[in-house]
Amino acid sequence: MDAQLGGMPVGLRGEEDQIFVDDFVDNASDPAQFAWRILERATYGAQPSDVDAFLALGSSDDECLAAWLDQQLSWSSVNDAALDSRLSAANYSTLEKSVSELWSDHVRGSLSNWPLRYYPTAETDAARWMRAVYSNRQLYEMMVEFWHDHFNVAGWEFSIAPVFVQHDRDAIRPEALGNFRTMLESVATSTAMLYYLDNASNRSGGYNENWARELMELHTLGVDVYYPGTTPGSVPIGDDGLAIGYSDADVYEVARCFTGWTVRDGHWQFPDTPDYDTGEFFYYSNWHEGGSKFVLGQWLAPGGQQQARLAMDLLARHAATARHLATKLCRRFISDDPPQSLIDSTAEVWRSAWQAPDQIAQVMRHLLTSDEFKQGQGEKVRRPFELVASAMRKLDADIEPRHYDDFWRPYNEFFNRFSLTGHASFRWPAPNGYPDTKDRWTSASVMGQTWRILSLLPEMKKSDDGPFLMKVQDLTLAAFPNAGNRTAVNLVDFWIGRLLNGQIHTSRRQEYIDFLRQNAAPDQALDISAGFPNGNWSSGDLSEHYTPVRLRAMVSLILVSPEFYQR
Amino acid sequence: MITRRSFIKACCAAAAASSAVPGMAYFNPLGAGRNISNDVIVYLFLRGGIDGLHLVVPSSGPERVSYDQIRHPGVLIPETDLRALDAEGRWGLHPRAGGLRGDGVGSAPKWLQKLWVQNKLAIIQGCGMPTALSRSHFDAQAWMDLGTPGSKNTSTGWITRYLSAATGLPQAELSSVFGFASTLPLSLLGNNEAFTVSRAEEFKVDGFHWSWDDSDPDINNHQGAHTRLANIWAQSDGLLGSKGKTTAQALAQMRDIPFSEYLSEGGAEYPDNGLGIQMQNLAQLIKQDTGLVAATLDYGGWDTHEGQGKPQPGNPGHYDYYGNQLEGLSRAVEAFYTDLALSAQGNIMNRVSVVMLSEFGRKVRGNQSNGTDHGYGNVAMVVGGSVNGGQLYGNFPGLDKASLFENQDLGVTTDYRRILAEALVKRMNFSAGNLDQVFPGIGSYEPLGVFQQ
Repeated sequence: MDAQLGGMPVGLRGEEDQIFVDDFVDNASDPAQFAWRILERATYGAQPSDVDAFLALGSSDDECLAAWLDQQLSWSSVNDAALDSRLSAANYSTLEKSVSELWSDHVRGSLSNWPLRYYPTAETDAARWMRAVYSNRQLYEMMVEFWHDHFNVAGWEFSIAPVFVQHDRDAIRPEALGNFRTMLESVATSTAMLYYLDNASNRSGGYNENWARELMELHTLGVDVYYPGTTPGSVPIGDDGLAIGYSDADVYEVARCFTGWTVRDGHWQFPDTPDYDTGEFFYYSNWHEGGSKFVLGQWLAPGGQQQARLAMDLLARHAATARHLATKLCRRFISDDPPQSLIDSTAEVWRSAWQAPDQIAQVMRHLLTSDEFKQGQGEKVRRPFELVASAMRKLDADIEPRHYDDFWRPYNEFFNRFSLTGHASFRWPAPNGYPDTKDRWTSASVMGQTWRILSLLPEMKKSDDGPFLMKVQDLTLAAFPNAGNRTAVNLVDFWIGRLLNGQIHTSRRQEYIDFLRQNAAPDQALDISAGFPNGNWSSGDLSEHYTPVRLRAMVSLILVSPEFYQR
Repeated sequence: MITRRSFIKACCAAAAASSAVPGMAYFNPLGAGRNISNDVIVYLFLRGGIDGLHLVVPSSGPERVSYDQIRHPGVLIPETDLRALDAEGRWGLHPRAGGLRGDGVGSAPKWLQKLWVQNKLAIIQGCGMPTALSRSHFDAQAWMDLGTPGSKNTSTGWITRYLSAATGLPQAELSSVFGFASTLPLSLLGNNEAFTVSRAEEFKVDGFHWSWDDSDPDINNHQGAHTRLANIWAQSDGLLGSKGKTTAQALAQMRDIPFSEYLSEGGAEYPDNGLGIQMQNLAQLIKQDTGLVAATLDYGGWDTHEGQGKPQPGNPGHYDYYGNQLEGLSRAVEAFYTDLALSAQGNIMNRVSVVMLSEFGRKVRGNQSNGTDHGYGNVAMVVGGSVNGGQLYGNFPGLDKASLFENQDLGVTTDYRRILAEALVKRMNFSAGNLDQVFPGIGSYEPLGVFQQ
C-alpha cells in the first residue's frame, strides 16, 4: 500500500492515452479524479493534501466543489498563516512601503545603487513565487495572475520598477475577486500604469491617447467593437442607449476626460514643493481640459476629475466589456477556444453584477460550476510559470527566492534560466499581457528552455552542501519505508501518481521505468540512499550507479512529459 | 536517404576537421563543392541609443564649426583624435572603431575601420524614424523592432512578417531564424518557429546532475536523461505533441553541434563578450548551411547619460567607456566578417549582410555629466560582402541651429526601414511590390544603393 498516496489511486495506466481523448468522460464514480481535475485547473497544482481536503468537504462532487468555491472565493477568510510566516521570514524590504516611500527610497534615492531601483519589482516577483507555491488562497492567486496579464505594465522598466509594488498590491490584488469598476479606477490611478501608458503626461493641449486607447481596446470594450474613424457619433447605438463600440473619436474624447490624471513627480509645471514630488497619483486641475465630452454616444457634463469616472462607468457596464472579459476568463480556465454559450452566460453574470462588490467572484462561481469546467481537462497548455510552480508544489519545495542573490546561492541561476523561457514575471513589454493560447507557448525555444529549468529543479540546493529545495528523496523514502519495495516500477508509479494522478501513456511509463532501472531488472530493489546525495560509481550494475541522482532525473523527466504540460 | 540528424552530425564533423586542418576541403554530404545556398540578414540592434555623433564626427568644414560651438567639452572629440574616414576629410571616425586605446590614430586600421577601408562597411547618416518621434527607449525600440513606427501594439515583428511573406525560402534544418536573446525579440513577435537562444550552448537540457546529464556507452550503455526526451514525446498528439517532438529534435540537433569546440577561420578572433560569443555561434550555424536566413542580436549599454568618455588615442590608460563599448562591437563584427569571408567553404560573407541600428541618437549638446541625453537622428551601419561600403549615405541633417530638430537633436532624413527594405529586395530576393506586407505604409521602394544586387 505504500505506493499509494493519501487515498489517491495510482489510476489509469497505459490502457489508453486518456489525456489525448477529445471528449473526456466525466468520471463521476471516482471522486479523487474529480478533485484532481478541479484542482489542477483552478490552482497552481494539486498536492495530495489538497485532494484530501477537497474530498472532505462533502459527499458528492458538486457538494465538494460548491464548498471549495465558498472557501476560495471568500479568499480573505482563508487562513494563510504558513505563507505569511514564510514571507515574513524572507524579510523582503519593499512590499509594505507606501508609494511615497517607494518614491523617496527607490527613485530619488537610487542613483548610486542601480539594483535598488529594481527591488520593488524583484521582490514582488519573489513573493509571487512564494504565493503560488504556498498560499492556501490558490484561486485568488490565479486571478491575480489573470489581472496582471489583463492590466499589464512592463514591471522591469526603468520608471516603473521603483513603484511596481503599489501596482501589484494596491491596484491589482484588492479587487482580484471583487468589483471590476473599482479595480479599473485603482489601475487608472496606479503610478506604474500612469507611466506605462503615458497618462501621466496627458494634459490639455498636450494630449496623450495611449491610456485611453488601451483602456478601451484592451482593458474594457475590446478591439472587436472598434470602429476606425474620427467622426463623432458614427457608431450605432445599442439597446442600452450606448454606442455598441468605439471609434477614434471616442479615444480622443476619453483621453480628454483623463487629462490631469497624473503623478506627483516634480514636473516643472507643478508647484516647486516636496508635496509635488512623492510619486503619488493626483488630479491636477490645471492640466484638465474643461467642457463636455461625447463618449459612446453620451454627453458627459463637465465635472473635473468626476468626468473620467463617468467614462469608466460607461465602460464598466458596457455589454462589450462583459463579452470581452468573459471570453478572456473562459479562455484562461476552460480552453483556448471556449464555447460561445458559456461565454454568453458568463457575460450575462458579469453584466448583471457590474455594481456588486463581489462581481468577479460571482462570475467565477458561474464559470467554475459550469459543465464545461467540471467535465473538461487537458485543454490548456501550462505556461512556464504554471509548470514550474506546479512542480514546486508537488515536490514539496522549500523556497525563498531572491533576485540579486549572492552568486553561490541558487536563485540567480533559477531566475536566469527561468527568464529564458520567456515567461519571467512582469517582463512582457506590450500592454496586452502574456498570451494565453498554446500556440504562443509551444515554440522550440520556450519548451526547450522550460525543460531545461525543469531538469534543474530537483537538483537545486540551498547551498553547495545544503539540503535540496525539492524533496524528492524525502517523499520517496516516506512512501517506501521498506527498502525492499524500492523497485523501479514502484518508484515510477509513486511519482506518476503524485505528479499526474497516475494518468500517463503506457509508453512513457515504460520509458521512466527503463531509465530508472537501466540494466537492472524492473522488480529489483534500487538503492536510492547509498552515497546520498549523488550516489556511487558502479560501472557494472547500473542500478547502483549514481542511483539517488537518477531518481531525481527520472522525476524531472516526468515533469517534461505531455501529461504534465496539460491542465 | 540522409536524415537531418546525421546530416548535421556530418557537417559538424566536417567543420571541425576543416577548421583544424587549414586548407582541407570541406566535405559536403549533399553534393560536390560547397556553397551556402541562401543569403542571411543579420539584424544587430545597439540597445540604449548609441551616440552616432560620437562615432562619426565632423572633422572639418561648417559642420565641424557648428560641432565645436554646440558640443559640451566633456564629449567633444578634437579633430586630431579622430581616424580619417572620407577622402575629403570632412568626417572622422572614433578611434576605437579602428584601434586599441594605446594606438595612435594613424596606426594600421583594425576592425570596423578595416572593413570601411575594404569597402565592406557602409554608414548611413541621419537615420531613424522620420514619421514618428519618441525619446523613450521602450517605445522607440518596440517601434523599430516591430517595423511599425508610431505603434507598439503590432502583433508581429518585422522579421516575422518578412518570413511569412517570403517565397522560396530554403528548407530550414533547425529554424529559419535565430534570435540571440533571452526572451523572444520583438522583431520575431508572433513567430512560433524561431529559435531564441542567448547562447547556443545553453539551448540544451542540462540541469540533471552531471552523472546523468550525458551518455557514456562505455559504462554498460549508460543512457543520459536527455536521450529520453524524444521517446517521452514520441506518443503525443495535437499542437502540443507536434511542438514537443520538434523541441526534442531541436535540442538533440543543437546538442550535436559542438559550439564550444568551434574553431574560427581566417585568423578571426572573437572578443570574449556576449556579442562575440553570439556572433561566433551565428557564424557556425551559417557554415552548417541549415537554411538559416535571418538572425537578431543585441548589443546594449549605449545609454550614456553620464561619463560617456572621450578617446585619447595613444594613451593606453585613459577612461573611455564609449570607446570600450565600441571596441567590443567592432571586434565582434569584424571577427564575424573575417571568419565567414575567409572560410574554407569560400567567401560566405558575400551572402551575409549585417545591419546595425539603434533606437535613437543622442542630444547633440551633451550634458553637465559629461554624457548625452536622448535625441533623435542617428547613424546606421551595414557590413557585408555585397555591400557598397566605404561610403557615407543619407543626407546629414546638419548641426547648425536652423537645422537641428526641436533645437536640440540631429534630424532624421532616412527612414531606417529603407535600409532593411533594400536588403530584403536586393539580397533576399524579396519582391519590392510586397514590401508593404513587411513594413505597412512604407510607400514606394527607394533603395539607397547600399547593397549590391
